Amino acid sequence: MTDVVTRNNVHVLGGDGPAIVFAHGFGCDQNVWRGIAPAFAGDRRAVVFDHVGAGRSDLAAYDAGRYGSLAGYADDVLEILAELALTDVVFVGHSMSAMVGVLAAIREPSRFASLVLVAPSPRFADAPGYTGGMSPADLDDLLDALDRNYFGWAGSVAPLVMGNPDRPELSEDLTNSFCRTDPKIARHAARVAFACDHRADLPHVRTRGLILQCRDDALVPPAVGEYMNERMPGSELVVLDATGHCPHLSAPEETVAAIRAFL
Amino acid sequence: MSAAAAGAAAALREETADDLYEHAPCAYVSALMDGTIVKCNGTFLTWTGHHRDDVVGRMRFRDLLTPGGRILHETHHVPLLLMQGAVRDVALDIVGADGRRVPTLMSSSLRRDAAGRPVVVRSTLFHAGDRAAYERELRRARDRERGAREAAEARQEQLALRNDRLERLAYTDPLTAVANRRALDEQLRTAVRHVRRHGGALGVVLVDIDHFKRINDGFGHDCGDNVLRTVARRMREVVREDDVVGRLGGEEFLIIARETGPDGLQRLAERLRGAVAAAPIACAGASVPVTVSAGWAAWEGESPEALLGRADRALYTAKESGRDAVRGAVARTHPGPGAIRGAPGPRG
Repeated sequence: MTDVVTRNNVHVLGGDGPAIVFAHGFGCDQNVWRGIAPAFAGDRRAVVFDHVGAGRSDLAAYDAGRYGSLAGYADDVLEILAELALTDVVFVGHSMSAMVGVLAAIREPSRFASLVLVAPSPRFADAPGYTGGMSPADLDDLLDALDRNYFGWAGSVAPLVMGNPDRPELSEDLTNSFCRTDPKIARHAARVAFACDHRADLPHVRTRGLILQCRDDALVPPAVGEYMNERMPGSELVVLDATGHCPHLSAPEETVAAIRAFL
Repeated sequence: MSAAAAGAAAALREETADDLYEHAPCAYVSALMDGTIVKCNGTFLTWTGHHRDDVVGRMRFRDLLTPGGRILHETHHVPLLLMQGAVRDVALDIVGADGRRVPTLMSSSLRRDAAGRPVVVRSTLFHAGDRAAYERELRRARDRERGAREAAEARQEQLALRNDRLERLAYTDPLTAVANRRALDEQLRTAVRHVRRHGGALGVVLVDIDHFKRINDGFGHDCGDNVLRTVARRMREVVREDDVVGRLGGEEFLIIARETGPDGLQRLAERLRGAVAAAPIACAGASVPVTVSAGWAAWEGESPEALLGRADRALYTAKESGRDAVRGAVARTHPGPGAIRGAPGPRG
């Protein structure tokens, strides 16, 4: 097995001080934190990494069993914290990684000082008595959309026509490179990210948490933030003025300010 | 000026930037950062069947997308746009006024204000109907090919497993799990062929359990089987990895030792004998002392049969010497006492 730092392409910004760890959501990689992480690197150790299957992580380490649920990603987070010997960690997780942080903090509460959950959702799909915002058909539609895009982006047309579809062929064009990965991994990871249901885990959190919700998130309806805030002990909910699902990209100053105020 | 020239000049005057924008072969959509559409061209309206008044200032970009496209847009398209300032060739369907989907290939770029803050997203949408159909076909072909390949691989694997098993069965002695006579025969032929061609040493050790008939008669056949299994196991434990241990039949075993000369064969045969005699074998509630006799022969250019013949005569002398003993065959060219043949031997 490759070491954890290589596997997850872990990078540390800044020197001493308590650690703040940033975990990206489905679709991109650690680059999404470049407007946020440096703002904390002055007085903290800012740690960024790629989930296995994303960015420059070790794609060979992607195991459909281990990453068949968010628990596998939580294991990775705990392994990274152990490898860097970090405790009293502020964990900032976006979207699916918010729940990854929740699972990790439940497992090893002693490692965590607080959780910052950016545009989180314990369950993206609707359920009886719960509005997640998506229907099961939406997920299929996403898989289709992903397939079509990776089909073109990953330049997988030629290899598949030549009967060599397993080659992770990436074209020279880096225009869309930050959100690129192996198409098969993308499909599987999408399913895991959007089909998860961790509502039952929320009451077990013992770490104080900040729920950062966008005013108008296309993927997560406002009710989800309230739902989480009601069930997570010691949480507080802040609704940002930012719109969309990625406030850390669309409104980095507001996001940094909200995190600072909480810490 | 001729009438034709005047007409052309008038047409050119109409060819303004606005006109080019409005009737471009691609659709243009401009949206604010919160997604509100602030401008679109006629081509967009033609493709989607929307009215300008329903779109501009009223619809958000995401309202144009399918549910899956919306997720892709939020998780890939928008982050890329914000990080890089531009995204190229994203395949997204636009939902028209009547609900029909228009497949497009979209490129977007970010316009910033003087302070560098992003203000407007400009998107250019190319109609991708043909491309979408073409890709659908390719994807179908890919899935078909993948399915066929996986099925073929599964069949192949099953076949290989079965062949493997059959082969193991055909070359294994079922009682002792060591090589059977057929396997020994083939291995010895191969080994002899090899030393003939490439030189080197080769030897065989014939091992026979002493007084096996007495064990069988005195303790029963189950006990006899157990003794055979135990002897085979103990011998297998003391040979080298390259040595072949097999059962020729009855209570007789053969060990084929490559790259081994007379000294090595003597040591190997001693090891085999010692390993068997080391401890009695428990069976049927009794503790049965078991010994073997061994005769070895080093290859001297002869046929496999002749080599075995010399080992057999060495085994005979070991038996004659009182059993629980090891004897080597004498050299082929110097017949000695070990090579005396014909006398009915005290085998068993």
